[in-house]
Amino acid sequence: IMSDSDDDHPFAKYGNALKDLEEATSKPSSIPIHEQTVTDEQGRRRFHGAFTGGFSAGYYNSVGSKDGWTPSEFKSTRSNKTGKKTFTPHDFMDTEDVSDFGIAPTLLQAKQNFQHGQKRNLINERQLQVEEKKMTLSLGTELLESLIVPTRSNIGKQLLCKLGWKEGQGIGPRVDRARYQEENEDEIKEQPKVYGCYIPGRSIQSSIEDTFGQEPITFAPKDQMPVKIIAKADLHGLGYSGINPTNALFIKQKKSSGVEARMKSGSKLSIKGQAFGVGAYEEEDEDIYSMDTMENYDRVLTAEANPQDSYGWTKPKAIASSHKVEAIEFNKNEAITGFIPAEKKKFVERKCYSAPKLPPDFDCNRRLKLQHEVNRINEMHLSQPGNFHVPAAVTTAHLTAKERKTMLGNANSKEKYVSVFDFISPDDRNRMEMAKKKPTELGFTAGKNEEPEKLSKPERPTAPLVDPKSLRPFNNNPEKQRRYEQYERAVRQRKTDPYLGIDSDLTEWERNHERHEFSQLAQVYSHLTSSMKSKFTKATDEEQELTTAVKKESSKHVFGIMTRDRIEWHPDPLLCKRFNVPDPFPKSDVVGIAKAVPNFDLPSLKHQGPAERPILEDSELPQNMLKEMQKVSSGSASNEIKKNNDLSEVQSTKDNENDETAEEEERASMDLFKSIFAASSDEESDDENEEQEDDLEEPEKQKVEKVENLSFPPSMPHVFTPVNKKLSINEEPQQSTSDLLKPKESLASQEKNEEKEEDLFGPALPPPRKAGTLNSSKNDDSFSKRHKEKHKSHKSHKKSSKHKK
Amino acid sequence: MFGVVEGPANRPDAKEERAPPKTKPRLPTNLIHFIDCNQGAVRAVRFNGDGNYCLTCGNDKSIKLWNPEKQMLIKKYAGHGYDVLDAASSNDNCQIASCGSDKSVMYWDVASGQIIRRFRGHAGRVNCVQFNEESTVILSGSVDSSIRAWDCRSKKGSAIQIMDEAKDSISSLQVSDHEILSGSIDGKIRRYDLRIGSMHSDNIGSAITSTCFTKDGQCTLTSTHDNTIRLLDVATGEMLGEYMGHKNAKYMIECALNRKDDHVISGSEDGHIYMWDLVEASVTKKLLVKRNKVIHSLSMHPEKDVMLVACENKVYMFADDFYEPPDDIA
Repeated sequence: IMSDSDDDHPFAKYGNALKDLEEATSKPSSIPIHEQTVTDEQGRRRFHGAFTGGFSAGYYNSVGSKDGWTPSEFKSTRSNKTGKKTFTPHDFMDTEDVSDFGIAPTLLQAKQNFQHGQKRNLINERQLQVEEKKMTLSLGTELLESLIVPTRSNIGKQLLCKLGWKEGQGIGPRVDRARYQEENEDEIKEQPKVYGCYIPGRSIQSSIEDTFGQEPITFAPKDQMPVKIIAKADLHGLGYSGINPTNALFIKQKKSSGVEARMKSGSKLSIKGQAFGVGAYEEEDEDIYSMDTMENYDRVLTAEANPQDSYGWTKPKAIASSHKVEAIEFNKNEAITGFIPAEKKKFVERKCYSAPKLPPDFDCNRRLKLQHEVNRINEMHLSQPGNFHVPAAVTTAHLTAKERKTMLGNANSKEKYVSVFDFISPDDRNRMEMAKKKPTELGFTAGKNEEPEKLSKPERPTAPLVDPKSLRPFNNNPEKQRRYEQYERAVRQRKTDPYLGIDSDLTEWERNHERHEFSQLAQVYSHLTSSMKSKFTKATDEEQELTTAVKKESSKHVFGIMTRDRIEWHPDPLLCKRFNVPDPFPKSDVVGIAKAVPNFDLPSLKHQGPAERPILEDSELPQNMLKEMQKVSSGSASNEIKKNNDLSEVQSTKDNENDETAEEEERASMDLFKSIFAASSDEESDDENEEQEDDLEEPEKQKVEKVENLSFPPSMPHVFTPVNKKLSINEEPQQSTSDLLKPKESLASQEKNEEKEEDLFGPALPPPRKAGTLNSSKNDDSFSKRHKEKHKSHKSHKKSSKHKK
Repeated sequence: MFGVVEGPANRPDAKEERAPPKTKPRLPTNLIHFIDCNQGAVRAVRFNGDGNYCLTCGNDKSIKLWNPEKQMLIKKYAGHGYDVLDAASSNDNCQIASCGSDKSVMYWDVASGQIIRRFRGHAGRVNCVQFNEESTVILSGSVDSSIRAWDCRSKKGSAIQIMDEAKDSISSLQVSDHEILSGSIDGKIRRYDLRIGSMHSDNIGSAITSTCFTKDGQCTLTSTHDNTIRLLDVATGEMLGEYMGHKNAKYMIECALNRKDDHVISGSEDGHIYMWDLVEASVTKKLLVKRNKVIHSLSMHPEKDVMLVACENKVYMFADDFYEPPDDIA
């Protein structure tokens, strides 16, 4: 189709154009409302005007024609006679009536014939209901149940029907006659008596035989009434049912108004009925004048004198008899529905065991026993005396939680609620008070200094810490070493601020720095020890094992002292608590074996070398003294002995063997140390002891320097710079102890201290030499001194150059 | 010396080799039955506290709870990542501790089968696990040569204490009221005494596979890889007895004492169970379980003369002559 030339559009049109929408829609609107009609599906008019027939009348009904009813004709021929014509309601119905929404919708329905035994089912239900009625008074639900009958049988029933089961039969395989009779014996017996006569010798059973002859017939098993379990919805007792109104209300036992008399012969003579006006055969009138007394009501809860008086339905009938207790056993079948009376005493009695016989000396108080044991152990001096204290039971009652906590040894655990001011030492607090009063006078507040510290609170190292004895970074500054050890211990005790309790007469600034320094050191050391411990094993132990192995080879079957080691081992306090055992070392903060920890204290150890030993042995001191001397010689031990009194005591109690092993261990750790911090000293000379000494000191310094480099900016003061003059005073006790050994040396050290004091300003000096460490007494003093000084100047030179960097 | 009578391939035959002298000791020598645990190789079998039930640790990452007398499986506990190597029941039988190749120690609720706690920290597989006397602490010994004490009471995941004195893996653990006894592959028995606060170590020389206390706690019985079991005095470390004849050079073979402590019982790598007289140190019984198979785990009933033995995928139950099977079976 070509485009119209009239149109300007250059479009080509295909297909038929749709009608205009306007035309279609405009039509209905054109008809006025009063002319609009309502029609049914077939287009017939449904509503007429009020005067033209009303609602769907006459002609439009399917009943007839335009003319209305057409009467049926009566036709009867000879061949085809009309019978009685019967009409159904459907004959008078319109098509609409039969439709889905009409008055008689024609749906596909199963006829009643095909519905499974609806009637019989109903009978069964009725039976059940009768049973139920005995138990429940809830008539409403019953009624409902009887009214609502399911139209369709359930699938199980349908399946059974298909299998050949019929209503009224039992389920199960069919049984033969003999079996059937056996099962139904009681039923047969219960058959009503037959009046009249049987044919002699013929029993009922034979009658069955008779009816079926000799054919092999099987019988369906007997049907059984299902046990209906009714949910208990009330709050009454088991088997309870309310008062039976028929008994209780209407059939009241009336006291007969009759007269009773006794004849001479002894037989009773009773005259019933009201005396006057009423004949013997008439019913007694209601006694309208009688008073209802309270006697008629049961007001007291007692054992019922007359069981007949109770109108409840609860009671099984048997109990109503006088033999109350035996009733249940006797009348088994009359138990509450749903319950089966027990055959015998089926339940086994629970066994009762008599309490175990206690030995006469049994002490039930275990704690006390343990206390004895502890005492015994302490007496035996097997271990360090622990002052395990068991408070009496009476006193504990009055203790506060905090007191108990301290008793239990939890005092060290972290306290949560600490005031900020608790962190500040009392001195500072005083100063703060002062500052509050005269801020202008002081110029600054102590609090300001304090704050950054709190921010940079040292992290608590989680790794196990090193034994304080072994860690001596400030060997040459005993006062500082002492403080460090205090700090160390505080860390181990998991105090929130380990530096807090340490008393020193340092200035605030110095304290800040020392705190920082300590925290860094503690971290580094803990890290070192933990990492190293996992990486290295002790060389000595292998040796030991080898020797023992050799020993074993030689005497194969000998076990005992040779193969046995006894090492002090500190169980964790919590582990002791869990094992219910007193802590053997209540005061120690070491856990596990303290000795096994690798030792970093090198220089002090070296002095226990071969050069020194013979002297001490010559002096023939007792073992304990010897041990102490060694400690003294190793520097800061004097302080430590005071502090770790208990520990040293424990050590002193140890036998020689242990000492040896300990030494070996220490030496081993030195090897280890060497291997890590290999000395790169240039000035090695084998001839002189002094040289050796320095060489050994060298690695330690290097190590500490490393630590420094890790943590401190170069502008920080040197770790090992002597801090105060007062230190020398603090050193005095140490001198006194060292005097025992080498008086000359102590003097020398004093001189050195003086030297140090002079050099306070200017480039930082190397760590001051300690008095105790100078054990090479044999050598010429002056020579050694000169030599040392030479070294020192050398070192100081090194260090100063470092600082300049 | 011992005539070996071999049973049919699948039915093991427990045969007495020699008649016991005079008074017959009550030893679990009669095979009652065996249970096919159906969980791969049975790594360990353990009676519970009262001996009514037993636990088997399987190769298939599960623990199973059995009634051994009725051969009845009660519950299966699954949750380990690798095979389970050991299990122990708490004193009230309400909890189970187990350990395995997945380096973890687990604390189970028996009834619900839920994991109450899972302790991680060992660096290697965990060989053995034990409760303390009050079942408040679990002790575990591992290939990482440490014994760790875990707190059942707290929710903290870290161990209370780590005992890493051993130089090689811990193979066996036993806990008394105040002592922890451990055997290690480095050939040392270590006994940690909490009351005194000391560790005693006895060097035996050969790798220790199993160690246990006698009932009186005066002696320790130690099985080592030189085909020997030794009875050592706890107090002095001296050897009181030496039991040989079995084969134990390769596997972790467990040893035990019978109920009356008059016999030493041990598994063996030749498929027999050996029983020695404690005093005379002579083999009194030798029971064949399965030829040339390793009898590695055994557990003694705490009150009766009943013994459970694990071999491959089965658990065998032995009892003495007076054993009466439970009513339900009869």
